[in-house]
Amino acid sequence: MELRKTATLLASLILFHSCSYVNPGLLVFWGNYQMDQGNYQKANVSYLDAMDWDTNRGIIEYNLGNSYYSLGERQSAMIRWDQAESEERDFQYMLIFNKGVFYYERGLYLEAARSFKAAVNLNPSDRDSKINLELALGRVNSNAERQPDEKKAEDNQNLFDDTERLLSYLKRQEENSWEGGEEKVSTRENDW
Amino acid sequence: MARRVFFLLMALLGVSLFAQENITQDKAYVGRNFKVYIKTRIPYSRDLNVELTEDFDQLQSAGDPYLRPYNALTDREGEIIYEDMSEIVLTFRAEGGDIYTCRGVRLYRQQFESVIPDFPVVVHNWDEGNLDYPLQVYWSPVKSEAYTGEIVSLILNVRYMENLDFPESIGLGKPALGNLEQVELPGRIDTYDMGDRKVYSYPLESWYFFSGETGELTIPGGEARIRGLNRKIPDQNIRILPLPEEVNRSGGVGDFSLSTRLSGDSAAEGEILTFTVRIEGTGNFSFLSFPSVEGEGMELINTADEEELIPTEAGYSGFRERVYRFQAGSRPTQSISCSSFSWINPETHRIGTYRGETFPVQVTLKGNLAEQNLSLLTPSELEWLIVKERMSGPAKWFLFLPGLIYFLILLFSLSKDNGARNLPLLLICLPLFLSLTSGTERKIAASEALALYEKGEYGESYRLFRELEDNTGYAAYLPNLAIIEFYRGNPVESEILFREALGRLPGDPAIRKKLFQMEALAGLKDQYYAGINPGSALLFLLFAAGGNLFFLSLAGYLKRRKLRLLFLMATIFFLSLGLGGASALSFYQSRRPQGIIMERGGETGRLRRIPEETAEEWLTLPPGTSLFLIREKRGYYFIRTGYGLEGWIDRDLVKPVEIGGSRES
Repeated sequence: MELRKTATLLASLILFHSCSYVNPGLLVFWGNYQMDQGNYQKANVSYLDAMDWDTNRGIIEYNLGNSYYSLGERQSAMIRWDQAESEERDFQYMLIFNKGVFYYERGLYLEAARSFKAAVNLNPSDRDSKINLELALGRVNSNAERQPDEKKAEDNQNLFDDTERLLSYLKRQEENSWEGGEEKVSTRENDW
Repeated sequence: MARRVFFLLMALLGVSLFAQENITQDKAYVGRNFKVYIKTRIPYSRDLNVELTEDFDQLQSAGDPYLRPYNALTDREGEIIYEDMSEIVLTFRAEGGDIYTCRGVRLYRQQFESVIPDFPVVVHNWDEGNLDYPLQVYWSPVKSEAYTGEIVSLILNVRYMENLDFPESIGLGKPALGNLEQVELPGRIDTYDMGDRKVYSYPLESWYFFSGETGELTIPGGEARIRGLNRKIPDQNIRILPLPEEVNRSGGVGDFSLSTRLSGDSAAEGEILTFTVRIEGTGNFSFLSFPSVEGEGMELINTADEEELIPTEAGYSGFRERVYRFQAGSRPTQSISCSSFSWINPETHRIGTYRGETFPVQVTLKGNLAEQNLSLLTPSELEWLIVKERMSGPAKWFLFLPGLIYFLILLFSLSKDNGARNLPLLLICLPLFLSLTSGTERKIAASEALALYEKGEYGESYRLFRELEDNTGYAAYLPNLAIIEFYRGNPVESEILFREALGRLPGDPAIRKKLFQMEALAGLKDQYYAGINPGSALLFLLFAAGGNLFFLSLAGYLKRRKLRLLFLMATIFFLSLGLGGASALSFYQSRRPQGIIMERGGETGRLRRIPEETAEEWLTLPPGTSLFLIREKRGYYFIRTGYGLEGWIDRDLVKPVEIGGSRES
């Protein structure tokens, strides 16, 4: 599983909307460029510099978390992601997706499945979230078979039912969009 | 008669008559007879016959073909030209849903004979009532034999789809022996023309399979669900062959090449050398092992891997590289050796081999510094350092005086034409400049401090040198303070003082020599190398010489008004300007912030990857380790060690080295 690194470029562009934030925007942009080049420490320094401006902290925290994660500091990355907040839907999606990856790698499959489910809710067209969700559910399922526990089993079952509904809906949506071409318009928000 | 002429014509034209035949068929399902109708443009006659000349594997003839008349052939205006044309009726049956190609339908009558061009026959499975074409899931051809560890590509495809739909689910069994890894292989999309419509064959999913076990293995199939229909995925059987003995160690199966690169065949003691092993090609990059690399007389600091691989049907394609960083030890001849590496090409079954190499490295030692006595700088050495320090301070601008004075004298005496005679006046400036460097009192004080040191009174000697340093502000005394600190058992303080001295007199050979001696005696490793900096002092001397020449040529021009002197003046001006710039740059570069690891409350340099309390400690740097300080954030320094390692360290555990300009008294 990989983090949503490339999407961070988009996040940094958000900062350019306002002229007064051009400095942190440039720093985040530079940090993202360094991330793409694999220079995680340089990216770190850029993000930390951007934090000095005290604006758009959510996006900067998110990016900083990504660079921490890339340096192998998973726990610190999670702390950063927990502090990242934004109203932006795309941003929330990237954040929750990365958290899902974190949980999965820590073996917390139930939390991972919940995160990926939330990511699918935020971005239903994203294939990676769906694949990761199914992977996480597969792990939850196999763990549940090995360790039967009533409470956990009930939780898992609820998650499965919800997820099954979500995935089947998305599949229908995709089928319709293939068959119906332009006439079909997604109305996912209303369907949930 | 007309029919005879027609058949004669047909005999001449042959197959082309069927170019516009109309072929229809009943909706066909597996295991059930169905009919195919071919309306030809051949007039019907009783002596016209039809036969199937070819047998089919799965599509079987379920009855003799026969001919019957039909009335439908019209010309372009819609008028019937011929009546009683021939319609061929074929009866088939198939045991599997597919699109079959029917060939070999022969039509003959006496001299006339023709064969119907090949045409498709569509047979559905029982659950495909709503589909126009059968739906088939199948594997791309998979090799039946593979070596241990060889990557076998498995591409699952779907056939006869009208749209490029994604599958709803794919369940594949887990092989008992071996590994399946899902990869994104490019695959291939094929298009089939079905009359005026197109159907596609395209990949659904792909995997890499490899096994470390030998023998007959089965990759269990499973089930794929697509467009609401379930299709069985067949099992795959594969025979895993043992690797030849030569390849066992590396496990490399593919088409590879190996290259090595050493950053240099000579190094200074303590310098970092990089050795790179690069494997390029296509094959099982995820499975193979790199050859072993060892340094004789050198210490392996760390390794770093890099790769750029893309999945292809023959395995991963691209390169993997491993960079080994060695630190040169204290032997004059050292070496790095790379063991042999073999691989087998699964296509040609030929074994490729890299035979292994040994790379000698000549190491320039710092001298047997540890064995030498670490002595203080003598008063005369100190005075010479002070001269150099003054030269690097504001006093250095006096070096421009000779030319300037000559120029001014000449300017005021032009009318008397005696400028050249005033040249000896230049000599006045030299004693003036040199007089600034004399200092009898400090020489006496330094001698006293040295005498105390030799008597073993380190404390008193230190106090005197410290007073001299405080009163005069010259960094020249710092090496002696550092040496005394070392003998008082404070190598960390000693390191700091030496680095401060070098910060103010960059690259000075006397200070460097003492520093290396001290580091060798104290066992301080992995320091950043204090390089020779010909830099600012030498460049400034050249700059000053250029400046003097400039004033001389300017004076000459004013006196003689010759154009060549003007050119000379301009050339010298730009040359000295360049030297001045280079001197400034060299000066700036020698002022990189530096720090030394300290010990505080039992804690020492714990390096972290990120500047956070929650961060895991990565490695510990011993006290006295010298570092470059790159940034400071959140109470941590972002540092780089002498061998290029970067990380964050608590700022309380680092003592920054003061490397500001010299303090003039």
